[in-house]
Amino acid sequence: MGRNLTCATVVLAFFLVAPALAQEKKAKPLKVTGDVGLLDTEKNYMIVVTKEGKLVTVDFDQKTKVTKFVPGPAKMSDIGLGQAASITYKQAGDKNVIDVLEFKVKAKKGE
Amino acid sequence: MNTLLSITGVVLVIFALSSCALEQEMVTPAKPAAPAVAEAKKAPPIVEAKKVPPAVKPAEVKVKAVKASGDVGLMDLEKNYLILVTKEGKLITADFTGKTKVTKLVPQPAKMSDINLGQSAAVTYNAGKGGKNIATSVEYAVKAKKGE
Repeated sequence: MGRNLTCATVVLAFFLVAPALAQEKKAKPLKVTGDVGLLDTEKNYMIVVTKEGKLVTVDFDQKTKVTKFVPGPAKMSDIGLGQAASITYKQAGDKNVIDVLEFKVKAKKGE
Repeated sequence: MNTLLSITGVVLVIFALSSCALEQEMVTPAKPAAPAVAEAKKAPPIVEAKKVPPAVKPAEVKVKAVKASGDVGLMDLEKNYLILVTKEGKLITADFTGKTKVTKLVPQPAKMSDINLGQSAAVTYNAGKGGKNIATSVEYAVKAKKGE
């Protein structure tokens, strides 16, 4: 009798905790891109203005990883297949001719 | 005798009236003739001006620069072209030349205080409890200085 009661309690507890665990798992990191509209380094928050005009307020702390991408000269041969890149090109006849190509170098492990 | 006099009088009156009418006819058409002549004198330069063909402007075809982002799907360094695969799955084939400016963006650690207002940034954050978003990473590109 006591054994059955223990089993029932464990099963009940599982059903109660499971939704909460699922919710935690669902919390995926979000990403927003835009211009920095406000940066308060005293109150540790910033407002990002998206292209659509939406304002996203985000707090930051010491754990927030800040990375700046410094531009430097490169060659076409430096670009690997599958690498993310952005190009600016113009149409000349039936061909597209690239004026500018930018690509992000992946950070090495430990950086 | 009286009859002769009256007939003569009537004829004279008719003659006088007809002569007046003729004078009026001669004077009246003269008035519009004057502006017509004036217009005729003025008209030729206008007509000549219209005949001058308008200056032919050279056809200015401004080619707009198109911007695209994606992953490099193919890179041919011999034939000097690449294929970019956009997020939407669109394939863009583009040629490059010696004039193509290639820039690599090298990641470096930075501080929040380094970020300027108006700077473009990509923020990754978690939606925390109480409606607060907490940033886990902030990435931004430093603009190249003039001449670089």
